[in-house]
Amino acid sequence: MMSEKFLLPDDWIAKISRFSISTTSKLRGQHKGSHRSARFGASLDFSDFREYTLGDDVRQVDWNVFARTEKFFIKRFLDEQEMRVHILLDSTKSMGETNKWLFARQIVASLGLMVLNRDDRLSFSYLQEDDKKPMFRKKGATNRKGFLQVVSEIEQAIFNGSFTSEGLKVVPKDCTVLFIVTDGLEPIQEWEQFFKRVPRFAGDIRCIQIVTKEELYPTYTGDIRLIDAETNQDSNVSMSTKVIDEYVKTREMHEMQFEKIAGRFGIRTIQLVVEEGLQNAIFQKLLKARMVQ
Amino acid sequence: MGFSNLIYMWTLILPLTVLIYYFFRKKYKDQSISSTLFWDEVMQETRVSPYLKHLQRNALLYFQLLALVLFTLALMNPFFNKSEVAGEQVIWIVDTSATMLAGKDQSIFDHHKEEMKALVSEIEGRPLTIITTGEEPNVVLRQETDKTLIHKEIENLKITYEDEQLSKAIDVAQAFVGEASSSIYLFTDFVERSELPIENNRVKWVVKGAEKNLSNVTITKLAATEEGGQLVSLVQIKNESAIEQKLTLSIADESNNVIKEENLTIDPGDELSRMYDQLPLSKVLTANINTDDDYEVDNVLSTIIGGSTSEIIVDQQMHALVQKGFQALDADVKIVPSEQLRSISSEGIFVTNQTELLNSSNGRVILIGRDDEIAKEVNGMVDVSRDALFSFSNLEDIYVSALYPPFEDFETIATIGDQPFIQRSTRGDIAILADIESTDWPLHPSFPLVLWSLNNELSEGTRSLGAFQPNESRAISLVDEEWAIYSSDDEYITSIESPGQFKAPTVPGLYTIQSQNDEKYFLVQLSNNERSIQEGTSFELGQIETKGEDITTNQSFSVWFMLIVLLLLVMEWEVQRRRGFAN
Repeated sequence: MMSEKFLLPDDWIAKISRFSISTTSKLRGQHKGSHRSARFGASLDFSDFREYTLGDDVRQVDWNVFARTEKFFIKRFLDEQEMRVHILLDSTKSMGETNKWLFARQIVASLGLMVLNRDDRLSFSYLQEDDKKPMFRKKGATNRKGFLQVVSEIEQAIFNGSFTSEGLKVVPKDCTVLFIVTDGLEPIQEWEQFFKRVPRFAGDIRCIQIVTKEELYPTYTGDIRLIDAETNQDSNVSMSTKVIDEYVKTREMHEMQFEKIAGRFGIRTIQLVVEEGLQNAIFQKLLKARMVQ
Repeated sequence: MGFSNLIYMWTLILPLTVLIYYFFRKKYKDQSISSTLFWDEVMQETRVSPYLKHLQRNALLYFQLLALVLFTLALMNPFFNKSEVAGEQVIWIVDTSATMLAGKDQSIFDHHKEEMKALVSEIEGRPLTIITTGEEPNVVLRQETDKTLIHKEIENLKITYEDEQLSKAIDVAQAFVGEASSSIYLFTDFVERSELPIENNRVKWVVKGAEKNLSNVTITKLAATEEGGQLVSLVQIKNESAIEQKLTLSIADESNNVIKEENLTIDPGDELSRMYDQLPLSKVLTANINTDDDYEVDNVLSTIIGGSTSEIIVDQQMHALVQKGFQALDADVKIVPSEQLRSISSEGIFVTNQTELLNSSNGRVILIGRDDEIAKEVNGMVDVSRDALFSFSNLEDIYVSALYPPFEDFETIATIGDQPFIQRSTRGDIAILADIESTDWPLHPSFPLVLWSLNNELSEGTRSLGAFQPNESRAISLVDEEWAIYSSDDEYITSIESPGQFKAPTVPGLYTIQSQNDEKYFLVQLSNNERSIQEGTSFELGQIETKGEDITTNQSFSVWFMLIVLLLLVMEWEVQRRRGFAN
């Protein structure tokens, strides 16, 4: 069994502790959290004064101000609320390539730790075959270890179905932020259906696409029978620069449409290349894309 | 087409090895990937046709195989067995003898004509000489290069029915060879290799022979003689084919009435003789066989009755110059002692001075001098009448010192002064009423000419000119100046201006020759050589020593194969380059 020590480098937890997930989404949980919300609430942080109007809570009148100005002002404080972050991991077989799968889980683990560190509520789900484990749904830094445990235990991506059709079944309805970690290797029409439905589940959706260099720029040569990891369908290809060029072109077209459709439904996408490393992914790409802060 | 280096067949191993290598080659490496989503899309474009795809995928194999097979073929040195004409000049000897008419559907001659026309294009501007065979080889074209003219002349070539006399034509051809390297084509039916002079290394002989398995039945002999007012005839028929032949033999008289007919069967290679007697009298007898063979001209043979050339019997007493004179005629001359002459019952020509032989002999008599009279001196010029005997000779210069008395009832055809000099009896005997010793005649050129005319007249008779070979030129003694020749069907053939230039017609058969006053008949017949056909062979002999302008007979096209191989290699390289070199 792979331990969390193997999943993430030793000092990783410390390294990413300064990051947090930020969102402008207003959809919040009911519990108190460490995130300021746009609402006024009962936190200790002062927001502003407002003139009293009928119906306001009398208890909120700032009597000191009244003493000086003989007018009723209501002193308002900022509200602090918890943020619900859900991470959906694509565990179809196309993710199953060793490095890709490890990298995907590392990303998931890093994001999860960031959430838990900030005292927000983290939920995590992935597609499972029949013997389903309950969804991880915890809050607070104390659950960091438990979360890592859960992520580490998913040793293999062995789900047989299609991510776009099955993925949303395991997503809770009340998320503030939804991270989708996938490779996007499904027909663009299915992604369109998927993206059409996903905004119902969360306010802020971020799609992280995990790709390998091999997928971007194949280095195969000769006559090769390519076998699809998910469908087991094979395709005989005689590799040539022309065929590979064609492949790259087709793939780029796919990415373009993928981004375009995602953008249409307000979903931010980012592509992380496995070979570029975890460090680069978190500290450069995600930061730059303002998916983490 | 053929291969000159068949030994290089072993190189077929090369393409086979490649093939086997491809058989055991792992076809596709399995590669598991996340998704074939994009690949499928890419490959959809090339999945137009499974065959095309297959071709595309195995292009390298096919190219390699093709290249190696072609390489192997090239090593084997293929060539077109095109009988290209070699040499600086081309000479065709065209056999125009009658046997060239043999042939199954098409005569050898027509077949050869077609072959010639085809050959013209291969000559490529080199001078062509065409020589036809015959008694006198004829140069039809002399180093001609104009193709239209050549075609025209080929079209004009005709059978002359003459004996082919190949050696003569070959001699003429040799004269044309000179210093130039030549190909001599022999369009004939059959020729022995040994007949060709091959010592010359500038000459290449190409013999185009007749086709094989020709069947022929021929009449080899027809003889007829008069016996007691009836004709007795002998016919010999030979079957030259390898199968039994059925035939109908018919014998016709001069006016083509069939007087005898018989159905015969003749075994392969067998000769059959038939004797017929009690046939009605006729001047000419024609035997005809009706059978299904490949050579028809020899199925007819005619003979003139009584026209047989007989021996000349010369009295030993005659002057030596007379003996020599007759011997010079190339006839069968016998010198017989005077006393034996009477006991000879031959039908030949007797040359003597014994007057009584005029009555007692069976044959004709040329009486030179008389032994029963005494010559009297005479003085004067010789005056000849218009007679066939003197058509070539003028006796005017002859000096005669003494003449014997004439015969009363004889026709006088030459006189000296008023006295008869030469007389002809009613039977046709000739009497020269002078001893040779008493004339200077032997010193004159007219002497042998008259002897020849005498022989001619007495042996053939006066009604017939005898038998000729086709196109044979022979001086005949005709009195009148203008004669016309008609065929047996009364068809006009030709006319003769001067009898000295008589030339027999080409086609065999019975002819009549007519003048205003006279009518004679003669036969044109194939020579015995032309009455039998032999299986032909085609072969080539000799090789021209290599010279700059010579063209090799086997035009190799290995070079083209090599070019294709080179092209294939380039294509292979390109295919390999597109696929990447790791493969």
